[in-house]
Amino acid sequence: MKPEVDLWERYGPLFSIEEKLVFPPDRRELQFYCEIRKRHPGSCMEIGAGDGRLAGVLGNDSLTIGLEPSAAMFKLWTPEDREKIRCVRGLGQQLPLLESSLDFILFPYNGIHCILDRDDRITLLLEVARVLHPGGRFFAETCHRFDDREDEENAERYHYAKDGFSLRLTETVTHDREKGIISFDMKYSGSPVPAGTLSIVLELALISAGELLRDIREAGLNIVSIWGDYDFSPWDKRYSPRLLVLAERSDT
Amino acid sequence: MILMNGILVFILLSGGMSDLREPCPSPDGETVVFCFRGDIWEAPLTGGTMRCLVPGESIETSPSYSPDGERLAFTSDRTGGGDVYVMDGTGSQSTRLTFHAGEDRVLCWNSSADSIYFLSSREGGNSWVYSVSASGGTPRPVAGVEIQNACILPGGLAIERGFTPWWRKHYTGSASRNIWIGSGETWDKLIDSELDEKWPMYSAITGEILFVMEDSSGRNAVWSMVRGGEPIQRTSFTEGDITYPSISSTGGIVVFEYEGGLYSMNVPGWSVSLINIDSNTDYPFPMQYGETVGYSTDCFDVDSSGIQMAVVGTGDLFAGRISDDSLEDMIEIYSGSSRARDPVWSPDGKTIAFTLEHEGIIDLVLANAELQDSILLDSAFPEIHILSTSSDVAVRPVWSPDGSRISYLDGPGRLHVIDERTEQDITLCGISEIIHHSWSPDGMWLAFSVPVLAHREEIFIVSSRGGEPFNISRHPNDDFQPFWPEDGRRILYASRTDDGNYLIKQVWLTREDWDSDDEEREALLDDNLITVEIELDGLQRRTETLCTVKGYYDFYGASPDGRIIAFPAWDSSDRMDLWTVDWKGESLTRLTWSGESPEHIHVTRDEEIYYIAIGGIVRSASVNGAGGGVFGWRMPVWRSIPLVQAQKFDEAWRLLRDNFYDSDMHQVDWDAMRSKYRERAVSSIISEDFNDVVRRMLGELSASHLGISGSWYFDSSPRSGSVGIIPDYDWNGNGIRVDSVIPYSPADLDGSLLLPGDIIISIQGIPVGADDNLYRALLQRSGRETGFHVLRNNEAFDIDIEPVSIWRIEDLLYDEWIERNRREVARLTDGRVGYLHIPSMNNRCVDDFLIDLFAEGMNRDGMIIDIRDNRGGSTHDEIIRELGRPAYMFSRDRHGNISFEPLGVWRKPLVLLINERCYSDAEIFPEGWKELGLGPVVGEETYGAVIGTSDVYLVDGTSFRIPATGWYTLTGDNLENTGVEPDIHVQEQPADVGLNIDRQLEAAAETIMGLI
Repeated sequence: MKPEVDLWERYGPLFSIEEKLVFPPDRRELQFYCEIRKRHPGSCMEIGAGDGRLAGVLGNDSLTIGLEPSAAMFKLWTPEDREKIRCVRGLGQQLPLLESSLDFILFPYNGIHCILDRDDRITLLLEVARVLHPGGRFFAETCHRFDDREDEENAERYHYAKDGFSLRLTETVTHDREKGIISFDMKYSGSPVPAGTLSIVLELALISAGELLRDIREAGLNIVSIWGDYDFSPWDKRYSPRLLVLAERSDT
Repeated sequence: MILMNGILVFILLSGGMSDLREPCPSPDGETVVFCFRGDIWEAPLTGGTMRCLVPGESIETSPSYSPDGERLAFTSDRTGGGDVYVMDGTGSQSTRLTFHAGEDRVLCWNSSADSIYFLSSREGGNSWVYSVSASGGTPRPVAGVEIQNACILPGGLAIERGFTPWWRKHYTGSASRNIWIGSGETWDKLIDSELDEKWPMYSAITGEILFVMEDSSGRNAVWSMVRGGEPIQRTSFTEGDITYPSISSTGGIVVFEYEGGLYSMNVPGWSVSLINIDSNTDYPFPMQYGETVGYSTDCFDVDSSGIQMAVVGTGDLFAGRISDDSLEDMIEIYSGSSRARDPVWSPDGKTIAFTLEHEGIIDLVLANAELQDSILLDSAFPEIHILSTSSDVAVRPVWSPDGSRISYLDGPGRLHVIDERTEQDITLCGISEIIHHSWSPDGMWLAFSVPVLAHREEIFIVSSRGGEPFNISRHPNDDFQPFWPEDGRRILYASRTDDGNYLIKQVWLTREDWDSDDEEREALLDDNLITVEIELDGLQRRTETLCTVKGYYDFYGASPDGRIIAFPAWDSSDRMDLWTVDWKGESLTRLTWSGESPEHIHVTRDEEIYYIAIGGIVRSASVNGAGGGVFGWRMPVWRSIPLVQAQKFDEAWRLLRDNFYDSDMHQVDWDAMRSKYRERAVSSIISEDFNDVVRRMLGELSASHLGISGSWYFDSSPRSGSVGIIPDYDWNGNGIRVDSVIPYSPADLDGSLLLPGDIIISIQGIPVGADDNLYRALLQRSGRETGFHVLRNNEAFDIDIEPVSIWRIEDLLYDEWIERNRREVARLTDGRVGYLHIPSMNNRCVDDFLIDLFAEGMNRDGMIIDIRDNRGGSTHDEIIRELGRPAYMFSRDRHGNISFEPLGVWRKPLVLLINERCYSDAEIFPEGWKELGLGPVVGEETYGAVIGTSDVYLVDGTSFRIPATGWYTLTGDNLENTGVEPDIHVQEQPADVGLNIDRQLEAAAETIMGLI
């Protein structure tokens, strides 16, 4: 398995703790995905399902699959989540599904940034086009703001402490623009790291809006909508915090 | 060095300059060259940006500036095990100077800068100093002395002589490295110290010899001294050890490695500075790469239906459907930075249990290998689940017959059972060091084997809910690997005797079944018991042997019904192949004939046999002898070099934590050692650097039998052959003049005879001589008829000779040495004493020993038994038993012929010869000899290196040694770090071997003559 995927075996549990405890839940994003799912009620697959955060939102009467390569992330799923979504371990670049078998595929949050190699991202989009029904929809989210982020050294990102539980993160951020990668050298300490400090280097791909849209089109998908935030506002390169893209398999 | 399989990703060299090695300063003190990731680099001595001088896929080491600073000599493996190369100062071109098939290593330049001194083992002698002209030619010996390092002094050499690994710490004993000063026949020790002295250097500025030796804190420091003076400590670092120092030809600058960085020290100021080397370079190193694994595996399992196979490749786990000669529809079960091992299918074939090692922990993991949804393809990874075992280490899982529980062994080898659903984990009994275990078909019992008496295993049974175990074998044999067939009426196991017999046994659990005849038993085997009955009384008497073959501690496989047992066994030519026997002990059959050394044998219900053959290939064979195939498979995986190195490091560290013979780790804080060395090891990109860091950690234990090597790759470089002549190195004329011919070598055979005094002018039309390297002309000529143009008494003639490998020549040189010693002993004892040498403690050498003892000793009055240079093995007891048997009776016929009992008992005087190169089992033997009073012991104290050891492979195939069993005298003295003292101490002098002087043999002859 690629190291960038293997990384999540170690990082996944901490990431999940952060998402559940450290960062307050963002109601807007859940409402957005709830709305997206309502508009596409058929069979569905979430790529990069992580710890099952969207299970409650995406699960409905139709077949819903959560695809995630990391066994450590799957271990975080609750039995209730597993009732709502069928867990499948696999890679987006090699979707383990038959051709034309799904109505809707989504790749939420910044999951696509975890695929460092552009060729791999193109492979994933071709796989999405293969697995979607003709006319099936694909949704992806990216954060082009990674490009603007400044390099930092050993910056304390947070120090969470509550009810005897503590977690501290210091982070060194660097860019490798030649390779198109932003690197977070994260050092965790606190309750989940009894041995001292856990060091994890997370690398994310820098993906421009133009690159993503071009790759989606070249994979055989037509762009249907582009939004700039969870409130369905139009995308604006200067101000939008994220890029939300809805596309459709074109050979109807 | 950028050779990896299928490099797909390059990233720029990052920080963490922790693997800078073997520095050498330029004569003007302006620059330093050093090795970095297998290449040679240069940087300003005062620090700055590094520049690559010798790039490439090969490994380059030991760079050395010429005294004029114009050229650089180095060692490279680009053409095999190691050859000397020279490069001009521009770095534009390098030239190969040596061509011998052995390993050559650059030491230094001569003072006139026209020759390079290097270390080599070739026809002249082992590990001698040779010189080769910087413009090429046939090398010639400089000093006939076995050494490790050397430097040039005015009028001689300072040599480092000893046999400890450079990375071992705190050793004091007969094998320690000492520095000697001298030349020719005269050598004196520089310093009278018990510690290792290493890396001699000479400073013309102060007239001192510099070297590395441990200081009072046990850390390697640089010392200096004038000959006859007192050593003065010149560095005093507190955290680590100085290694690989080198001095400029002017003697004013010393550079060395310290904790992965490079430092300089000026002489005579002795001030030390860190050389800040800037890695700001665009030279790329691969940190990730893609490769395809397949064919080779170290473990696998076939499901109960015989349809699916789970197979491990380089720590990743895959599963596929068994086809005629391949695995099809392969899916990835686990691929990542941890190491997967020991896969076992659940009885229903839907789940695979396996172990996953990471960071000193081994988890027990379940993977659901069944794809349930019709739209899913097999590219879905099975979901995996880590069981919550009560131990940090869980190995060798086995499913209970109903698939509800899994038995496994924890770190100390205690037997556990964990419920697959509730994850309730119980320890069945207090016994540790359990090795094999097997469930009874009703799930109520487990059989296991564990060492009980003198490392011999016995078979026990214990309730699967825990309780008191019961020994069911109780036999002096080594009884191991119990297997409970599904009929529930008997237990199969393997058994081994000291003299190399391997037996398959079965014990019947009830008197009634035992008393049944074969026909009744045949019916019983089809009548599987629902509840197993065990009558403990008389179990040992209800044991029968199904077959006896030649074998060792090897593991068999049995069909689930226990009707067919497949096992490895040796034939008379020491070839190990696959054999079978049925449950009645009939139809013993050999299935393979090509010496496949089968391991991990698995027999299916259909009596199809799968096993791992030499090279790690899964093969199959049928009981009826039909068919058989190779199970090929290919799966793509990604590797991250730092993650692979981290996994290897953690495995190595854990293996010693859990298995080193001394649980107190020789008073070393092993956790601290992990912290100290892990980061450096993980940041090592090439195996050579990684192994170097791990060796330094091993050195902290101050123990023998430690080591790491590999991972291996196939070296197909052209090799030189040899015809078995010793050149006359004093010859100044054309060609190569023959000084002597090694007996029985190609040059000594009828039809291709060369004589001393012959002059070889050319080989295959290629001129040879002082300026034309003899071995260059012999490249790739081994085993091929080769034309020699020769002058004899000024008459030219042509002759065809077929060279052989240099290793064959080594054998012949050994034979010649033995013959020379026999002649010498006969001369010194007037033919009254015989002589034999035991080169190793293995079965072949025991056979030779028995032949030599009686062939040489029959008509003589005594025997000298020489075990010098014996590197050990495991057969001390066989030789001791042969020599130590007392005579208790004799018989005599009417003609007066006497025969003693026991037959063939040796009753004449014996003398044993030992030296500091006797190692391991070759120390147990002389200790036993002394304990039993078999005769005087002459020579030098042995090495002091005795620990029972096994070899394992780390995740990428790197070989790693585990010293696990200590050996002690009857008075409780640990033989590790305590050499066996001779009764008569005779020390070999450095020049003795080159001068054919053997003062130890002479003393042995004198001693035994006093006993006759």
